[in-house]
Amino acid sequence: MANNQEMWKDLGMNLETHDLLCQVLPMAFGDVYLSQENRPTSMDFWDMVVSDIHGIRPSELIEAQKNGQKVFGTFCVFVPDEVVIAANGIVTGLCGGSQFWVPDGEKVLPKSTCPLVKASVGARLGKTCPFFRIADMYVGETTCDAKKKAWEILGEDVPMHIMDMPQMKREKDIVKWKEEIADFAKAVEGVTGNTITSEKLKESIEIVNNKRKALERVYEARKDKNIPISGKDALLMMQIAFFDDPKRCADMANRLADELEQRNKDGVSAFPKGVKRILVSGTPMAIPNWKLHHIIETSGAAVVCEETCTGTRYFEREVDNSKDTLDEQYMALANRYMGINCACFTPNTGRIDDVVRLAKEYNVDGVIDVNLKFCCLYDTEGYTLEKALKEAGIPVLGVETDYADSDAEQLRTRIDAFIEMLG
Amino acid sequence: MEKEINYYVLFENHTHGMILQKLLREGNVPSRIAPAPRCTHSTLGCGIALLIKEEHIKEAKEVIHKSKANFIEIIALENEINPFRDRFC
Repeated sequence: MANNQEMWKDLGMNLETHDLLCQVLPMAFGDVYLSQENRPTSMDFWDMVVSDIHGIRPSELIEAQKNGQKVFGTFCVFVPDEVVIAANGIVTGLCGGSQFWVPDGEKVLPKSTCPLVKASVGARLGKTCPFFRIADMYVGETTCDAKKKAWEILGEDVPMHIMDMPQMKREKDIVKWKEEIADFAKAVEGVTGNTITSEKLKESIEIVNNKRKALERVYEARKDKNIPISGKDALLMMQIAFFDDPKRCADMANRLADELEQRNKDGVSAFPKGVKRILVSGTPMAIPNWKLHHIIETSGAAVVCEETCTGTRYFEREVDNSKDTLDEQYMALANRYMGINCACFTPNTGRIDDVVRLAKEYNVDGVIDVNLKFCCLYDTEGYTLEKALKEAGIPVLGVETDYADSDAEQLRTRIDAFIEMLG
Repeated sequence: MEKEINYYVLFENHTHGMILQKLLREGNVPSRIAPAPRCTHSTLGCGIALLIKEEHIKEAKEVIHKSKANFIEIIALENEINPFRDRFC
């Protein structure tokens, strides 16, 4: 059996507390994932990764560090991976999707902070996340007030680089983001000791574009009237994408897409005929936050698309890779990333258009708009979104939740009623 | 009513697990990769296991024996998987 103890000890982790997390993972994974029937066989890869999530990838990152590479921990889809990869660095996601980490976060943050931010800070300060022990630099952004203040606290403990996110999408805001990307590139060069050239950036843009295309292929297969994969499985692929090597991620997603396309041809579904198709929109679901998807998919419906940062916002639209100078390439990156429709922007009508478009493209019966507790940006935008969906004749249910188990029964009741109402 | 039994094959590392899973697949023996159940851990640490249903364990053992696959042990546990438990990580 994998014995990661030595590695975790060397990383300065709190082994006893971390062991409590290792205790609950097998049961939760079994209930949520192994209870499913007729899963695509390609999901084996992600089952393996999650089964030893604090062992396999962390040991790869440590090996890379021994070979001189630097690791950058990121929190948000706005941070351009391409810049890090161009400097021979590695990007990794960080822990933040479990109630397990929330109490340690609440020691330094107000309880009225969203669980994602509390869990992220708690995972670092509680020394219970290997990724939070490995990274050489942490990259924050100013996409919400909770994060802005959390970076000040985290920054006392780890080296941080903060990217200042524009709040609007005017031309001058896109130019500002380009400048932020250029500043980030300098910081990355400083940490890695490597110079970013236009040739290297071209290569890394190609790598990340290929990853986006592969993830998008999986989503394309989910548009079929046949439902070849559960939402839970697709979500797992997306969650791991933040941690994995980008080339391997693309290979595995393409392999899965091949299988899903074949399943669609053969009419092989992960669900019985007639289940309702649901689009989940809203706040991100960091691993191992599988709660909402699981409740929906054990209530007679299937999630066929996620309009979230752990969904379409992560891969839609490629970076224009036809540019030849660093200045033009940074602008191309800014154009792509500023096209993400996050609730941090005002106005953010693009997101409303996205949700209505996706609801039609994925032929959904209804939308569940989810908001992580205390995220006032997505919560407030829910009003406009729900109004637009109702006007378009698309049924919508707004839910607010966190990582705790305590509201599961209430959520089941509301989601059951919503699915029943869909007819 | 008696609960069904799930068998878990435990490994030294994930590579051994993936090799056996490939062999089982070639032999048309169904198995699933799962986190090693907590009660099997003799030391602190997560790890992968192969979950094999009761009806397939005989064939699985034959594949293991024939291929001399690397594994630590096979343990039998009552099936505790419950999608309506609503206990999340």
